[in-house]
Amino acid sequence: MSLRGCAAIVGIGELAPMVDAGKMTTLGMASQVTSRALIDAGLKITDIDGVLAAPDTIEDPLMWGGQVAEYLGIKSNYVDIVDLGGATAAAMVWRAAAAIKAGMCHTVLCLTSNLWNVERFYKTFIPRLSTEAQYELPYGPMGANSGYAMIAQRHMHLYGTTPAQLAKVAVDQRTNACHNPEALYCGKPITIEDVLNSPLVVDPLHLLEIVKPCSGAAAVIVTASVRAPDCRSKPVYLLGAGEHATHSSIIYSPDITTSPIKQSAKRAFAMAGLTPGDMDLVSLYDCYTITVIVSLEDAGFCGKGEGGPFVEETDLTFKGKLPCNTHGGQLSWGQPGLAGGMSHVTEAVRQLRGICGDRQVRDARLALVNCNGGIMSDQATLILGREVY
Amino acid sequence: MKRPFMPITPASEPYWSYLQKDELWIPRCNSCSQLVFYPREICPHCASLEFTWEKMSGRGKVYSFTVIRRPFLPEFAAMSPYVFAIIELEEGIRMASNIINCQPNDVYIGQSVRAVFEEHENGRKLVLFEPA
Ligand SMILES: [Zn+2]
Repeated sequence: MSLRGCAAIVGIGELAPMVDAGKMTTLGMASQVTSRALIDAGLKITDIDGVLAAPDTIEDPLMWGGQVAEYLGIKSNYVDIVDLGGATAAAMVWRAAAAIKAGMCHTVLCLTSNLWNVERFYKTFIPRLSTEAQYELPYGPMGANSGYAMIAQRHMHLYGTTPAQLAKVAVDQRTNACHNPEALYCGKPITIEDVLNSPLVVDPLHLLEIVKPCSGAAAVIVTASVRAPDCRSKPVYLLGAGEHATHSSIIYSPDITTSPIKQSAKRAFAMAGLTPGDMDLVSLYDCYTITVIVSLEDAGFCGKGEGGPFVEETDLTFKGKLPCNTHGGQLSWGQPGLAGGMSHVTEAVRQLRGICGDRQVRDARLALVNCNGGIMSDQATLILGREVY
Repeated sequence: MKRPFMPITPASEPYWSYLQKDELWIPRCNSCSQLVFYPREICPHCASLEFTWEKMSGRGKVYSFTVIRRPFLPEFAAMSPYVFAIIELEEGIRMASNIINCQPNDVYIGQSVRAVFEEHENGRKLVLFEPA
């Protein structure tokens, strides 16, 4: 049994990332994007019979899935929380397809909505740590920043990856963002020098290599493929999916320069019967520049250790040989909590529908989406297609 | 300085007790003979529940590191910039620590380091590393 072609994304709704969300609430933003996704799909709320909700990463309410379903007015045959950090979005899409394939439901709303509150985040950070952080916390780690910095440092040591190569990822994605009016950094092009001249936050990573947390929301509607042609917008089919994790804390990763995307992408490609060379674009979780380089290597777009020279030589913009994060990526579009991960799904859907305007990749038929949670921990990979090839 | 310590758990009690004596001990699985760090109630290699604690040499190498210049925990502001690192002990396991008694810019991957034990305000000791 495979999920290949069993389900399609038929509706997307998204808010542009917000540095200041004003008086917005988590459920209010969820309402906005749900409404947009339903209109996009040409569906009514009563057509939805499953809900997968991302956790509220700041407040941590009890039985959140049920609260979300009730608020939106969904009578559900399937409701759950997917709590895989940055991997949540892609992980929701295949879980929705699996539930549909199993006959538990037919149309699932996958929802991410998060308000960023820096004071609240730091106040709740330590109390929410696992007891096993007792071996790390006294040394003053800097959350994800120090984890990815150590990945970058060792990648540079083993493979000779250079700061300029890392910076190139941020520069190409900024070029993409400058063609996306919804991106936080639209209209602000940068050069490799700008990246390298930005302050070192956590060696070897500079400020412009690190995402900016903000607020936002996104919803994606997944339905059974047999129902997809009745929807208003062009469906985008799930052709392959894979998920893998080897660790939670990066300290205990078997090899910090290898991402579990190695297994998740391999499984997704095998299910789809496709290879990296078949992809017209990639939508790779990019919390830091190094994440993109390691993901490209371990998903098979270049050899291990060759990610630095590969991004240096490859145009990663929408006009390039391997368009990557055409919306700007989270580095330049923004990281509205777990909706940041969902932006990699929504952008791939827009590209495959052919509605990206200025930044449209010509004849985009197939896309790889990868969402990455924790410190290169949980990986969820999707292969999406304009048709079931 | 006042570092943020977390509560000791039943599985970690021997680890922290040995540190109080300036010794680094790690549990070895009685069933598959692998060292297990961090200490826990089950062997992550074979699911055995039985361990024997073993004293480490305290010698190791820097596996990777970063220099933290803008700490987000206020306790570390006075100490920054400081080195947060993964140390690979010569016995094979890896752990988080800080490298002290040298300039952050002098730290490199593969550098030989040795354990030093530092007492903190609350009387608890912590294992840190310095160039060997
Ligand atoms: Zn064992």
